Amino acid sequence: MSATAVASLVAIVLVAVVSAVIGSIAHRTRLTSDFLVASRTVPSRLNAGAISGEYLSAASFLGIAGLILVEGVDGLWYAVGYTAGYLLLLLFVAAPLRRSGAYTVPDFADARLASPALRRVCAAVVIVICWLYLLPQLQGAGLTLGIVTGLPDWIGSAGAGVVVLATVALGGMRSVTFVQAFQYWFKLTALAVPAVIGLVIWFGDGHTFSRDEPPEFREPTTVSVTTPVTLDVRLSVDVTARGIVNGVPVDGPLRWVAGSSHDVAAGTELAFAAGDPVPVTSGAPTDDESWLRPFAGSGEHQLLGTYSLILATFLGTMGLPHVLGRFYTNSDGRAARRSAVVVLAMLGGFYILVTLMGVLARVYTPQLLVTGRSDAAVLLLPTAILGSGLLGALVAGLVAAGAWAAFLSTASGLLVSLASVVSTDVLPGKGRVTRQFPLATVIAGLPPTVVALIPTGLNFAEAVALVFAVAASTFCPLLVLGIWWRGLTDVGAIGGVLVGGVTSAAAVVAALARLDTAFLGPAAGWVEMLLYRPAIVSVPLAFATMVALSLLTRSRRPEDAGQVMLRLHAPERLGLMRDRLDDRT
Amino acid sequence: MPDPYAPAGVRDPAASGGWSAAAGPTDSGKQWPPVTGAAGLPRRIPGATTEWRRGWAPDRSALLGVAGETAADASSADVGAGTGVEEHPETKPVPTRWTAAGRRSAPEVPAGPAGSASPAGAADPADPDLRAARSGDAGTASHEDLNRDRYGGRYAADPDEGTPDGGLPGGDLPGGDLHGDHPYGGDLHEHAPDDAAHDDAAHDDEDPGDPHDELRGPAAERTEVIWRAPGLDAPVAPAPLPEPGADLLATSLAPYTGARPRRFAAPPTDVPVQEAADSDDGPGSNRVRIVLSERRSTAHSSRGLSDVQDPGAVGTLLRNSLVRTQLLLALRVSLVALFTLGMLPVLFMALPVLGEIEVAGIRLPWLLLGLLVYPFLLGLGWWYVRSAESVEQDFADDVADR
Repeated sequence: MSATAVASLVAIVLVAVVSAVIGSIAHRTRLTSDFLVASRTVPSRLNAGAISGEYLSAASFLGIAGLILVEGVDGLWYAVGYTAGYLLLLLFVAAPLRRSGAYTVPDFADARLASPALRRVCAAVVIVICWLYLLPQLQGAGLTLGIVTGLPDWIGSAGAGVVVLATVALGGMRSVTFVQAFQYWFKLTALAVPAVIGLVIWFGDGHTFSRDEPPEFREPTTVSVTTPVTLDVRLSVDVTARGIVNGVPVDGPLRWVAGSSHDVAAGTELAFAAGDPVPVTSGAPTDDESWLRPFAGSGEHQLLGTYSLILATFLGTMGLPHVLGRFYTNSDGRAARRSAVVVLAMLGGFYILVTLMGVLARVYTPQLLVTGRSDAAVLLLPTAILGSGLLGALVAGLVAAGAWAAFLSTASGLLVSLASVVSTDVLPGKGRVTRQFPLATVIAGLPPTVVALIPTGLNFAEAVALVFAVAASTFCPLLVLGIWWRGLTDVGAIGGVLVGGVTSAAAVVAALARLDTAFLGPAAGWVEMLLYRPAIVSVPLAFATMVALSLLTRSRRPEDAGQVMLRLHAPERLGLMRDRLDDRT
Repeated sequence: MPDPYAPAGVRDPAASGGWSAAAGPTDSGKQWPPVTGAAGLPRRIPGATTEWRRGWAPDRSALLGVAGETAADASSADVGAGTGVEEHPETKPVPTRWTAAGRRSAPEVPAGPAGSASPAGAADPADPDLRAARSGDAGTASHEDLNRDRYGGRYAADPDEGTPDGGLPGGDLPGGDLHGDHPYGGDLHEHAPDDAAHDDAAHDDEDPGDPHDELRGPAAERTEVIWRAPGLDAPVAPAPLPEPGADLLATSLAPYTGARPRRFAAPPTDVPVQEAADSDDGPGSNRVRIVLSERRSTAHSSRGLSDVQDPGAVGTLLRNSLVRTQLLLALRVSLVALFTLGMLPVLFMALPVLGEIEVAGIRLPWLLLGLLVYPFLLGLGWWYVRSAESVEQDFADDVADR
């Protein structure tokens, strides 16, 4: 086992242990509200750290840098969208949601529209979103462990699942708050160190992207292809292949001429010499100059796809249960707003580092362009820049631990949201949340942990963007209309959530299962775009359904809508805010 | 069971009472930006050593500056002769920077010359605000007091947290563009014409008895935009109360003693026991309430609160105006964000040359999407929070003053 692997393993274990220790010493959790919403006494700056720590997941830590490595400036839209989504959450949801006094999204729906059916629908949507969101997190943990130690991915996934389950089941949300605030700063450090070092070395290199050539291998490289890929070759290259290329078994040297493309099956090994031009997975910009420019890829309907992504990420954040759950831990609506502003600053700082890492990866880890596993870029960058000496091993360990912090924080946040909903809305015997919470955690956390053992070929950022589309099509219309429009009725809300949820979730599942490859013909481009970026259809559909059904069922408007709206929007000074948890006990 | 960790606004009023309940978890002092009136510094009580007459007018020298000094002298001498008003240096009204257009006054109310309005005032139903403002009862001063507490007190008392606010003089809240169209007052005036009658009643009583009308004329022109009497923004007669006009009359006839109305000691919500609070300190008594800090989260009730919760047309109107204002604000900010960012893909697609421009060694799209977008979003968020909080403060003032 190399020094890098040892350092990384030690760092990962340390992060897990420190998280558990902070969580357990922070507070003894006793009350129901302790478990669910940290007794609502979290100061807003600490809470902002916790929100950021929870929000910055595997998608942000690994996925975005990988997308930037492959797609260039188009990949930046993910980071921009994840941040701008927070702004919209601040604008439309943050303070009113906190003032609603509810503690989960279904509870908010219940408070606003007093409909048990809607509550059940919302609980189901929470579970769907959290499970879909947990998958890339746990797989990211597996990928990280696999890369640094060479162990199979499923071990890391299962390990992350167990650690998260234990932390959440035993500690609840209060402890998670401290853990997550710690994890934000840890993640930031884990990115800042290699990014700054890499930037210095890169400037020393005098490397430039303004050239009409593909990136080059800096040293002799052997690439193992783990998922089937199609490679576009920009400049002729000699490659030594072992495995199946273009459907033919090969074992020996091949010459790929300029402008050709080749199908490489999984399990194939390709060896390149130093200075060889790098072939890239098809659809991505092949040379550095076009990589610098927007819309340089060869995919169809890129503009529409970008807008769909913008719609999903901008509106999806406000529908994510674990982000909303975090807001309930603010002391009041003002604090909720203020912590959201701090979060905007924290996210911005983080994503600037992520962008830098993506750019550096283009220079130092171009072999990832061949495998299509671009998620590994951030993890491989330290050793690629610093070599596998002691310094490289230490920094690599830091980054690996940061990646684990990302999975742990997001996964535990998701699990808390899941368990809150399961313990209050699914399990029988309400009002005994304290006892049920650990049980609910295990019940809710096991299925995604099991499913995460099956690999999917999607980049984490893309997978998470799909979940954002689901959230944007379900909870976003529900919250926005519920908070700002008196005319919303329970029928309209249920209809809108169901329509948006079914369309978007169906697209997500199809995309995860790679069904788009089954479609051929002229419409294939559209089908692919819509499966991977469903928001541009499903979000307007959900909004329209919700409004139309509400107008049709005008008579079902809740009579206390005005009072509830007042409670959502009235400043704290008026003392109108009530706590739904207290109503329960 | 009562939850000892329950946050603000949900405490059992019977168990905790007004003051102890105020020390809620929101007073942690760890919030950013500074919370209102968090520091425990004693505040000056305007009028604490002064006998205020009911027709109290603000210190015009403070308002008009040097140019107005002579007029102010004349008037204060005059007023003082009549009533023994003596402006203690400590208790001078805070000069404000609000525009003459009137942050507090409804846009559609003509800011007519007060001099012409004063003699004919009682017969001018279109202009209740002006006269209400000039009538200057206890509510006027308490409102001023409130403003000073909130703005002046906040900024002065939180020197360490003052980063966003620091350079601004008390009373001038940044983000003032929102203040121009004070929505609640505007709406209320439009929809409640009948309340002018109440004001008229009050004024018919007062105006003839005031010998200094002529002299106060010019001052009133200023006063009207700075202080607000209960009648000013409360023209809507609340349905549950039988005689709001009588209330107004009673309080406005009582000489103002400088005692602060007990705004925060009343039991929370639902129980409108407002005017009783005033009489607690007793009109004419010289007791002074020392308020160490403004309690934000304490539920205090007032007629305004029950107005807002009123299921009828009045309450609906009030609530809708709050929601509409906040929604418009949120939409405005989000449209700026969406338009600016949403334009970029089309621009990049339509003008590929944009992708080749280099600024400071970085390609323009990278610079925009990788770097500049984050300060942009942060700035928007910050702007929104400031604006939304000031909207809420206006609304809360409105309710508190009703």
